[in-house]
Amino acid sequence: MNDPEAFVSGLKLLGAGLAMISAIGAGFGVGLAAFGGVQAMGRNPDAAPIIQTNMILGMAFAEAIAIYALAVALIIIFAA
Amino acid sequence: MSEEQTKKGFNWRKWVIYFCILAGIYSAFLGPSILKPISPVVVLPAEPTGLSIGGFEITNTMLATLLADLILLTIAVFVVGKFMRSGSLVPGGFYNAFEALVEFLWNTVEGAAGKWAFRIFPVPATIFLLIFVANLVKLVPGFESIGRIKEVHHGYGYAPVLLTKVGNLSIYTIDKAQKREHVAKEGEHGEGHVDQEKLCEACEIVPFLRGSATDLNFPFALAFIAVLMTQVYGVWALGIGYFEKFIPIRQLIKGGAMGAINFIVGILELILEFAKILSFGFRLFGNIFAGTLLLSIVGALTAVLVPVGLYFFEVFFGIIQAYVFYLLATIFISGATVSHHAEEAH
Amino acid sequence: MEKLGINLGFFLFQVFNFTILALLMYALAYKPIVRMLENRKNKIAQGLEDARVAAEARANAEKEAKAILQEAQNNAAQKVREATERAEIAAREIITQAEAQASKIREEARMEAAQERDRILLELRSQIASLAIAAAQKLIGEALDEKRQHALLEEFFSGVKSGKVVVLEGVELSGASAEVISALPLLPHEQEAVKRDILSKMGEQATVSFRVDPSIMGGLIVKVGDKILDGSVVGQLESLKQSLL
Repeated sequence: MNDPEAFVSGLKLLGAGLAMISAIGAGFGVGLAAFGGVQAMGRNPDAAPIIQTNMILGMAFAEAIAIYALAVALIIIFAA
Repeated sequence: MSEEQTKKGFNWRKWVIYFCILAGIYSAFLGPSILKPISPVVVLPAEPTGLSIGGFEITNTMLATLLADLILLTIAVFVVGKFMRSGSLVPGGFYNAFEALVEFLWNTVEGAAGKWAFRIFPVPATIFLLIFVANLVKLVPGFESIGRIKEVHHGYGYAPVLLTKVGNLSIYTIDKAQKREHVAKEGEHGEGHVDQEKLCEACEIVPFLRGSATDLNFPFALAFIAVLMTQVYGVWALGIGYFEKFIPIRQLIKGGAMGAINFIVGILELILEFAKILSFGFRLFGNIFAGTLLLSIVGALTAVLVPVGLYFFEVFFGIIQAYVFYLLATIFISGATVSHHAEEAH
Repeated sequence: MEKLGINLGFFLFQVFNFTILALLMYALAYKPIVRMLENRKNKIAQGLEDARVAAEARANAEKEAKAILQEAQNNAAQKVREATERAEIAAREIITQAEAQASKIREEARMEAAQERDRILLELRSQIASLAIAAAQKLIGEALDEKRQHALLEEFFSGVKSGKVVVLEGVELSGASAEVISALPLLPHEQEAVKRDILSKMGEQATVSFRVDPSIMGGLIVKVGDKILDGSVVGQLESLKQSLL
């Protein structure tokens, strides 16, 4: 408590780490998309290109959550 | 005769490869004892290289981007141009590989956009090629490791060690064992006090070249262009009616509750358009920056063998990120050329 | 923002850089390559089309060739069959001719043989008569006068008695032809007598043929149509045997 600056920077790091918890959800989302996509491609290999495109699209949206978290974490560390 | 020659060439190549492997093993085991691996300083902003054009300073990520541009334009002028001038129909050599890549991109765009493909193609294709080349060229040794040595502004630095001297150019490295704290000196911010003779006390290395995608400006610029071009192509294809996707006034007037909901959805879509820039940009930046960080940290921990696997990983991720960026841009742009109402009609 | 490294100048530099690069790449690489791809696709499609047409033409030619070959084979087979048939017909004709000739030759030979036999029998006739007379003389022990004996024998052999055919006496005959069978060949004057006698009964238009059959031993058999007048020795012996038994 004798160095408030160090205390604040420590809290910043903690907050950045906590922000990245949302990566769990994004990971689940990406995994689910890949699971569904691969299963669908296995069932219907002819439609693989369309499924792949949509799978990557879905993964991108799921991943976006983690990216927002990353942005928040970066802003907390460097900009806040 | 030719068979013998190829055999001879193969042997020669084989010995070069053996030598490289041996040298690699030797330097991998002896190198760390000479050059201590240094855990890198995490810096987000691109560092200035000291060069400037008309007062506009050039950062190291800009230099890397320009290098990627140069590589692409060299291919375009010397490989594609030469082939086109030869008038041959049968591709061969490096041109064939480049054409296969472009053909792959073209097929995807054509599949997504149909008759709009040729007008759309330059944007996603350039996005792909630029990210692809930038991500791969970033992995060349010397990137992010060779640079100017300078005094740290705050935090810790390391003591400089003279490595070798070529002419009147001294080459230094920094010694990880001698960690030094930055001492705020008087007149540090002053002009002309930059010590040419006397070297820095607590030093860090500012690389000449740094991966383009590790600077937020590069992915955000590409994301901005992708989203902007989505609107441009949307207006080109559908006229001013394109903007009804965002502000569905007609629906608000026509249908009661559903119209109101659609209006709000349209506003959300407008917000989503800006969110796209963010997600596009941070996805590329996050992946590549994390990759760079991972490589340098693992390299500082174990200099032998493990970074090789991570290098493969990085090559793979560089290509995948380029492809994802390209694919999403293609889908968004080609989606904008299709009428929103037409989709609802069927 | 400054700490994240986002700088309007750098950002605009990147946007500008991308725009320039995209335009240059469009002019230098994308346009020629995409045009080349289209060009090549068209060329390949054209080539495939050409190949298909050529293959079709070749298939047609092959079909035609096959048809021509088939026709030729058919023709050849037809020719062979015809030739075989003709040859068979010719062979059959030759065989028939040869058979006919052979049978003619055989007939002729038989006729000649019969004539020869008749001639020999005629030559032998007088000797047989003399022999018979000698035997009769020995048998009955008395000699008839020479002239009577001869007349008797003549009558025996020819069945003609004093210019009249014995068998025909008191018989009505009608028909177109008559056949006269004798044991030994008849002498010309006997034939004449028989002929005259028969013709007087049957009319002038009728024909008379003569035949020699030694097995009847003597006398005459006259056949007119299905009527048989048996004046032969064998016939008389037979009827004697019938009456005796």
